[in-house]
Amino acid sequence: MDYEDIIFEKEEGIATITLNRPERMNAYSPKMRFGIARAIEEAADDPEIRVLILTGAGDRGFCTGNDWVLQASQNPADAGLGERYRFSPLGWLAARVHRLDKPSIAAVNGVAAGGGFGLALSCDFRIASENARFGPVFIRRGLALDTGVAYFLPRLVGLPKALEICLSGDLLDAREAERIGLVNRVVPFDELMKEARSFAAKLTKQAPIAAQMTKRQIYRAQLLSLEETLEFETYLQQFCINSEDVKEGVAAFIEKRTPEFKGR
Amino acid sequence: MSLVIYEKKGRIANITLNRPEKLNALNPELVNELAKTWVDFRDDEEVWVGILTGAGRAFCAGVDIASDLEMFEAMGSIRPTRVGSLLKEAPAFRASPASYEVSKPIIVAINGYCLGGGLWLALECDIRIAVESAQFGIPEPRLGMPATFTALFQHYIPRGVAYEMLITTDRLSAQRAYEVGLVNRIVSPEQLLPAATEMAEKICQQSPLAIRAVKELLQRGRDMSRPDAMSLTDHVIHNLMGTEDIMEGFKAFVEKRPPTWKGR
Repeated sequence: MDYEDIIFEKEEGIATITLNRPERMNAYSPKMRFGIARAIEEAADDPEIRVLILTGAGDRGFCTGNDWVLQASQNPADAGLGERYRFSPLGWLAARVHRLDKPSIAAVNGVAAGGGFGLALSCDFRIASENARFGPVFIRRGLALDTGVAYFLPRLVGLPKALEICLSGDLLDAREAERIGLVNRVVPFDELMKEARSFAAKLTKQAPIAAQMTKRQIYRAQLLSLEETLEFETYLQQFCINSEDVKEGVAAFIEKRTPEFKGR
Repeated sequence: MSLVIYEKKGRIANITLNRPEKLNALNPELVNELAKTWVDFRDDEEVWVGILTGAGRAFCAGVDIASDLEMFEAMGSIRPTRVGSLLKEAPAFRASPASYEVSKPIIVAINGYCLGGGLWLALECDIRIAVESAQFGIPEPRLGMPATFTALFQHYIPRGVAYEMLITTDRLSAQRAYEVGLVNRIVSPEQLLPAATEMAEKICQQSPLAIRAVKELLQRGRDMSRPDAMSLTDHVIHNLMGTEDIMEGFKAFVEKRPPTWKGR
C-alpha cells in the first residue's frame, strides 16, 4: 500500500511509522492523518507484527499537531478522507492508536505538541531523545484539549500535574517529562531509534496472545469495578490457558530454557 | 458461484446471501465475502442504503454448525485483532455490518428462516421487513451453549419474551415478531423486495448525510449518559453545518422545491 507524508516499514515483527514532514516539524497534513490510521490497521491485521513504533523524521519535531499553514479543514471528510469520517471525533486518530491490540511505542525525537502530544500519549510507552519537548499548548491558541489529552494525561501524571501542564501551556523538557513519569526513559538523540527498537525487540519475544490480553486488560480495568475486572480476567485467562503458548511457557520454565512463543 | 450477490442500483445496494442449499448458513467463506461487501458498501459514496436478503427459503439459518465446530476446536488459536469481546471473532459478529463501522442504513428483507447468528445479523441491521412465513429463533441451547449474542438480545424485545425464546428455543412467527417489535412490517413474499426497495427509496429522498448522522447517533449514543449524548449530537450537527447538502436542504425548503442531495 502506498503512503504519503509517512514512511511505513515492517521488520522483524516491528512496524515503524515515521511521520515525514520534517520541514513542518511533522505537523499533520490530512494525508498524514489518514496514512497513520491505515498503517495502524495494516499493523493490526498482520499477524507477523507484534509491536508498533511511532516516530518523526528529523531532529526538530515528533509531531506538532494540526498544520495551520495548510488551512486544511479540521473535518476529515472535507479534507478528502471520505464521508465515513465526517462525524468522527476531532481526535479520532488517538482512538485508532490506543485501540491497537499490540504494544505501541512513541519514539519522541523532538517537539510533541498539540495533537502530536495527544498522539504520543495514545501510545503505551514513550521513549524520548534529550531534545524532545512536550506540551498540549492548545490553550495558547485559545483551544480546548483534543486528541484524547484530557483522557490520557491525568492517567499518566495525576490530576494536579495534568491541570498545570494543560492550563499553563508550557512545554516540558525531556528530563522533566521523565521525572513526572510522562516518558519511560530519555536517551541521547543518536541512540533514540536503537533504544526504541531494542525495547520493541524485547516485546516481540513475549507470548503474543498474553501481550495483547495484558494490554487490553490493564486499560479496560481502569474503567471497570473490581468484580467486573475479575470477570474479565477469568474470561481472558480461560482463553490463554488453552493456548499452545502457555504449554510452551510452562515447559520452558520447567526445562529451564527460553520459551519460543508462536501466538497460538 | 459467489456466496454473496452484491448489486448496486442507483443509490441502493442489494446484498443477497447466496448459499440456498445450506439455508444461507454462515460458513467462513460466506462471512469473508460478506465482510468485504460491508467494507465496499461503507466506502462507496455512490450508494446510500443497503437491502440485505437471502436466496431460497431461508434468510439465514445461523452459523454453519460444521464450521462452528472447527472454530471451537481452534479456539485456542484464534488471534483477536480488535478490542472488545473475543466473540467478535465469532462468525455472527464478523458477518455484522456494525463490526465494520457501517453508518449507512440497511434494510433486511427476511424471506424465511431467521435463526441464531442469522437473527443476530438481522438485528445488527436497522429495519426489518419479513414475509408471513418467516420464523425467528435461537436454537443454540439445543447444541449445549447459549447464543453468542444472548446478553445483548434482551435489549431488542421485551425481556420476558427474549428469555422465553432463549430457553425454550421455540420460534416466533412473523406475526409474533411483528407484535413484539422485532420486525417493522410483514408483507407477502412477492411484495418483500418491492416493499424494501420502496422504503430504501424513501430514505434516499432525505439528506444522506443526515441519515448517516442519525445512524451514528443511535449507535454511538446508545450506551451514553444523557449529557454525553447531547454533546455527541451537538458535535455531529456541527459537522453537518457548512456541508453543501444542509445549505441545499434549507434553500429547497424556502424555495418550496424538492432538494437535490449530493452527499457532501
